Amino acid sequence: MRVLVAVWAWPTHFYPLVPLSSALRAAGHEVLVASQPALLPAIRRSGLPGAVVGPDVAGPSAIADTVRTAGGTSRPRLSLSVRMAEVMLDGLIELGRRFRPDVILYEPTSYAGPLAAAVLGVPAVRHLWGIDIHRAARAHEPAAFAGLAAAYGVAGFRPQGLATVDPCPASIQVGSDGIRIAQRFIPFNGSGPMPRWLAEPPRRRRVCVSWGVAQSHRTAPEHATRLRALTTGLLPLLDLGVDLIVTVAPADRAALTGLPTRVRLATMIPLSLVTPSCDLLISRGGNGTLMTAMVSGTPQLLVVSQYTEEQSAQALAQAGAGRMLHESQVSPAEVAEHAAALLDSDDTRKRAAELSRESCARPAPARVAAELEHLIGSGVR
Amino acid sequence: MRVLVVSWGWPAHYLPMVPLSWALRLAGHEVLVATQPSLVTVVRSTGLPVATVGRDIADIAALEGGFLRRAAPDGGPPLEWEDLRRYGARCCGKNVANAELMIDDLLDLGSAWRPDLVLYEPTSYAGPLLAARLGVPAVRHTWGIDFAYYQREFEDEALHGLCRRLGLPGVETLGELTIDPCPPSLQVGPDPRVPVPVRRVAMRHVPFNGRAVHPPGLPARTGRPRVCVCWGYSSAVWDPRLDLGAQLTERIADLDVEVVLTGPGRPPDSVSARPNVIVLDRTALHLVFPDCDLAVIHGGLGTMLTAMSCGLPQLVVPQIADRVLNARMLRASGAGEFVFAHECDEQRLHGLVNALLHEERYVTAARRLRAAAESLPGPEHIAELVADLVGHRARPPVQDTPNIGLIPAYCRVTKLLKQSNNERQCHGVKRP
Repeated sequence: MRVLVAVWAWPTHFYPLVPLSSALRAAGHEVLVASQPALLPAIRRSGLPGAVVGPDVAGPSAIADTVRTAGGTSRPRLSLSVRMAEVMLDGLIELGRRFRPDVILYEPTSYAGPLAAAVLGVPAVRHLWGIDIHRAARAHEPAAFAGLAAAYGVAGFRPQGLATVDPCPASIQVGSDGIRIAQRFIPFNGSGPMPRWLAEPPRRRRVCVSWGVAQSHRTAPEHATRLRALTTGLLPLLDLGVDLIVTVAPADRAALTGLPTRVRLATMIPLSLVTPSCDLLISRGGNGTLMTAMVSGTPQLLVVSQYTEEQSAQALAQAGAGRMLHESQVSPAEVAEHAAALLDSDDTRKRAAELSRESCARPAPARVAAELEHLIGSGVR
Repeated sequence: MRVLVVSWGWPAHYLPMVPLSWALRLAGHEVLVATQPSLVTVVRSTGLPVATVGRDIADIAALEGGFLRRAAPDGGPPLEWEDLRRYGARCCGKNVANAELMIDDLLDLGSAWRPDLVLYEPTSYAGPLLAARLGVPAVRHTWGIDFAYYQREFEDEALHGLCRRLGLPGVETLGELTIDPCPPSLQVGPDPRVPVPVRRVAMRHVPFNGRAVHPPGLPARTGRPRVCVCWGYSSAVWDPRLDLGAQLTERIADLDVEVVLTGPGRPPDSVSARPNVIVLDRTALHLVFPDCDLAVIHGGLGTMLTAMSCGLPQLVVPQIADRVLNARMLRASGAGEFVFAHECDEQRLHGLVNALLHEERYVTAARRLRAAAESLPGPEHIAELVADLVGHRARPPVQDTPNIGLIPAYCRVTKLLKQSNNERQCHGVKRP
């Protein structure tokens, strides 16, 4: 089977697709990841073959402008997704004519995937990132993509594809539509070094603060300042016998100097190496971060500021595996109080562990790869 | 479970383990690669997390280059294992040196991280030494055709000092299990001089050389046969004079063929300017080979097994002992021929290239070999087998989320694998 993976150039949209893509490759299928030029370094670091389609659209800050804040108007906009589909579509179709895929796999906001599949006459399969935060946007898809579909002669465009690979445990998933193929979530946030201190079993309880690299793009430069304020507010946790690990982008390290030695700065370490040894993760509810801590059964304190992250934080909190706060409504000192409460909550720990078990019981990507082959109805080439 | 993957700092030794390492990770296990500093960038490009252990061996080019000049004299055939044997335990010198450079840090990492299993390539003795100290299973992963197996004859002696320093009575460098990413028909048989049996499991080869960007830059076919010349990575690092790629390209281009040269070095203008020569930047070979009719190679396994997976006949010009072995095994399969550099005159070279391009039996044998490789269980199944060694599985046995249908083939393959592991592919040893 030949599998073309379509994703616009944003690493956190690409990472959730890496495990299944790798499993397909290991099962003997040909896999090719198609994206805009900016993603090529990340694709190559994942070990998957990559191809460039279309130009890059704009820098991270321009993309950031289109992201709405939590509690704002409730109507999601698809303008960014439409723009990405427009610039990728010609290249993707042309690549598809050369690569002749049996199926196009795509992440939910890369609509060039199902559009190109319709043009090429092959099935498209959607791969969710985790909790389905794009569900609310579905109602607006037909209108938003009517023009593009017409321009390419696609009648009855089905943005949801033939089936959906769903890596999220049912008890935190929001809704369901069409054929769902269940998969367990395998964390992938790029490679990185494992420092020696992280290899050792922790001596004290650990709290990890992960403020997300994608977030850093969106909110720079005030990102580092906020992270420093939050970290300072969390220092009272040290008195409870807790060590703090703060994940920071290399550029933000300078803003976090002069803190006590029991506050460790972790730069470019894959989060999946960190969360298994932690008793609590404090994050802004980004998908990769949330799902990685979910898999390791780590209780989570989610301090959200954006609509999409609010959706997933809410789902996790409702399952009892964590707590959600709104960034605009809490001070760092209050975050520390919530963190202390969660560290003492056996119930949260128990629910987080149950959720992890539920996730690990879902079929591994190797099995999903076999099911996909079955579904597409083509033999290994 | 936790799997520590151990390799000394050499890409060609590490890369064959990437598909199984990924498969273990995709089955939900924690995987960490431990290696010397010079390989960290390569490991990071494969998407796996990495810990640095020890120091790099000083000046590998001088060390290996010097050895190769003795082992592959100009104007004569390269020494083979039967010739090298007379050096005894000194054959393992570089491997012992690397183990000494890695072991202290590796023990430190291992006692902190507590892996349940150590996966290692055959020449990284630090792997089985660590496993012995921790009392966990050691699984050996070959690059394919197992030249390193013969060195087992001298490894007890070569590792005597290191074992004593570590307080070990000895170490089994063949591990509990050896994973071969090649069909059993290509693998070497047991050698009576090796004091212990090896327990082999064959795995489907998944080409992996990283750096894959599509399209690889090949122009459309012109109708003439297309020959791909590739000299791998290692040779040119040891000694640039070993890289015969440009020279062979020039001579093969005299025939009515297209020649694709993939490196490693840039050829002189006199070669690249020829109308039927296509020079590619270094790229993943599995993107190039399917569009070619013949591979002319040095006989390194990353290249040879990728050509095998693409069903390509091969001409090997082996320059060192392990590659001579690879070349002999390949020729025995019928999927290729080999010729030593000092015997590779114009007439011989052109005769072999023409025969390999035009005689049907080579393509038939190459396809048969590919089919044999494809019929083997993939890394995802070997990952299960390896997890069974440790005795607990990352995935609970009962699935609580039924999907669109169980795949009967999957169950069949798993069962077959268990059978073959018990009966066919292990050389009669039961685990103690």
